[in-house]
Amino acid sequence: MFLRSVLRKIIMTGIVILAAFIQTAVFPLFSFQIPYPNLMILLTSVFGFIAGKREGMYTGFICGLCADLFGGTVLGFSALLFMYLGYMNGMIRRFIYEEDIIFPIILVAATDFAYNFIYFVLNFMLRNRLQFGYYFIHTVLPEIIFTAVLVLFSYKQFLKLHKRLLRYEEGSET
Amino acid sequence: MKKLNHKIRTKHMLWILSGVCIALIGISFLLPGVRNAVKTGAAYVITPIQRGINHMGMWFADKTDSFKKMDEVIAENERLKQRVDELTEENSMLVQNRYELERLRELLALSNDYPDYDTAAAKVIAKESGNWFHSFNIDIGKNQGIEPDMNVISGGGLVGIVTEVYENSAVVESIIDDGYNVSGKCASSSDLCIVNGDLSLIESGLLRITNIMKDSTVKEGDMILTSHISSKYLPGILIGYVTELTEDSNDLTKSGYLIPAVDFEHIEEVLVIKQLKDTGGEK
Repeated sequence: MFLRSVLRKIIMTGIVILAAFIQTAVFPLFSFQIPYPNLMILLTSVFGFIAGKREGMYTGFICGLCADLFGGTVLGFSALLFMYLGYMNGMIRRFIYEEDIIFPIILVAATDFAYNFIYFVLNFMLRNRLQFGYYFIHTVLPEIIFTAVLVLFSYKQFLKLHKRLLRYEEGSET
Repeated sequence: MKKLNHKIRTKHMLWILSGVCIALIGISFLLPGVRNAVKTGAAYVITPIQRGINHMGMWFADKTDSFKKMDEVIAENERLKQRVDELTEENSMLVQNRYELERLRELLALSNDYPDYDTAAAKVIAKESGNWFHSFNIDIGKNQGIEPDMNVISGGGLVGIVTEVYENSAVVESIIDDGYNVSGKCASSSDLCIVNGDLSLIESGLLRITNIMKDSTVKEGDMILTSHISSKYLPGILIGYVTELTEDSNDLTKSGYLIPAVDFEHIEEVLVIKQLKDTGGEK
């Protein structure tokens, strides 16, 4: 009973950790120069959108915690940021038909942009690096595009997985 | 009711987790030791996995790299094959050209060797009846500075010698005339010989070559030039190429046949070398 109810969370956490390893260890194999897609943002946004703000919040928290632990200097900051991003993605869910592929892409792109903008403000603007246009074109935009493309290929699979796990979980309650 | 409860709990959770995050941030700034300990613990788990992924990734990257290179090599091979075809075609053309060039160079060698020779171009205006020229008339004579005993060449090969000169024409006796003798010399071995016109050989288009010393190294295919000891012919003019060579019955000399360098059957234009051999005698 208990295992059934936590299986979804365990699998989610597993996916996030796997994604964190891919993000930190696999992508740099291809190139250290070009920007990579942001899997943490992808998972936070997609799970928030699919499963609602509660799941988005949890996923964001775990993603942020992973981001903090795998890199970063301040523990908890990414966790906080990602958690709120996931939560907000979950808030949008109830207005949109979730089978549509276009909106998740836009949402992930917007989330990625928001994350990068905040990151820019805190890490660059405060150090008087004000050329956001340059950073946007050379760093943010490629990341957004890569991430959006990944959403295009992975969204349906995440949706399917989520529904399956949800059915499994509900089956335990009846 | 349950849904509302759930909502509240989510919001509460958000606040709780926010508090946790802020606490973590606070710890990061206020207690670097704790933060470092946490990071170190995390790294203890994370780093080996990342390293493993990296190794694997590098291995795969190597593989894909080699596949990529394979593709490149295949594509390049395709290109090179095409290039080989092109070059083969070009080469065969060039080989043909080279043969032509060699032939032309050989023919030209004469005028290169003796660039000082002043020549006069002449047209063959008359000839004796028959397939082969024996003696023929050219369209230049005394007025153009032609004198008897001037050598006549065509295409780099010796044609004959001017025997009679008129005002505006001259008679040239060709080397294929029966009984006509030219002192020759083998280009490679400098062995001397005599080239005879032979009526019996006119049909076969050959000249006879005699008086080659038995010990000489003249062999088939050798180039025969006019010799330096000739009284009338300038040295070094190509006569022809040795074909057959047999030992004479006197056991002292060899003789054989010579293919003339000039195509006598189609001779139309000749060059008259306007220089006489200086024999240092009478005159």
